Amino acid sequence: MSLQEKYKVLLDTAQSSGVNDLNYAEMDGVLQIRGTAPSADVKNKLWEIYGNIDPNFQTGDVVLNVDVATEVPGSQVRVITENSNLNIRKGPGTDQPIVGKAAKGEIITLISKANDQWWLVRTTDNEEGYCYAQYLESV
Amino acid sequence: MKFSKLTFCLLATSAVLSFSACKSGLSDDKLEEKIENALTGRKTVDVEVEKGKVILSGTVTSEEEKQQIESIAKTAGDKDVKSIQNDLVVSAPVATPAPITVSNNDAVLGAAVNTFMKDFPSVQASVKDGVISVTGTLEQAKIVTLKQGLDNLNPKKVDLSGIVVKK
Repeated sequence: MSLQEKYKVLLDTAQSSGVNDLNYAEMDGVLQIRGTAPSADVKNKLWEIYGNIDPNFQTGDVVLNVDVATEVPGSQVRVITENSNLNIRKGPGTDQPIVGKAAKGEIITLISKANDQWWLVRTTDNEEGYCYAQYLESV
Repeated sequence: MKFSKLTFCLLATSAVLSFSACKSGLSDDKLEEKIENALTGRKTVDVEVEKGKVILSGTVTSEEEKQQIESIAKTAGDKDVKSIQNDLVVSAPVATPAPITVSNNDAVLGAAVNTFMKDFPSVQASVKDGVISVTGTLEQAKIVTLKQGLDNLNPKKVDLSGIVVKK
């Protein structure tokens, strides 16, 4: 069974739920999937389906890199850390000094994206700096 | 001899044509040319003129553009335009998705992985030939966060088979 058949439900859902610029290809035995989901809900749904087909992602035959369209400069994003505060740093990198913190669940403003990993944000207390994008989700 | 006869015929025909064109404003062909000139650069739009009636066809990307082209045609043709039939179809531009890129620089990928893995002290990651391998023990709830973060780095593969999953 080809990977595209194995993950047919995932690819079909991505298509039907309006993932933009959807692109996928099998490369070196791994199904690489890229695209932009219209909302965080759609992205989460895709990850749920992926997790159902490959529990705990043990097989490692997919790399699913889908970002969220609503996470654009000027939009509001929610801090989704496990339980700790999110560090806000002077520059994009963990070697940069911490200039502030955002609490779990706090809603902050996305100013710009330095890259896929580090986004420039502003808190409601007007603290401004970079934080790790993984812990932000569009509202 | 044949040639000169033909030339004469052409001259005569064009004289008649231009005469008739003068009489009732621009000829259809001239009007079409004028409107086409005004719409230079709009490769998806086609202009046809039939007895002063302008027919616009082809595709545009928005309703505003459709109306804009109609008004350009109207302005360009001025009083020679009897009517406009706007058959332009609005269709969203077809975006060509960006090609899939996979990280091929272990040093860059490794640095990004190390930064990300600071939040997962119970597991260790290594990078070789674009493949991220993770070993250690992790709660099941955190696995999706780990996988999402690593997939965002566009590796060739993420191997989590060395993780012992805690319920």
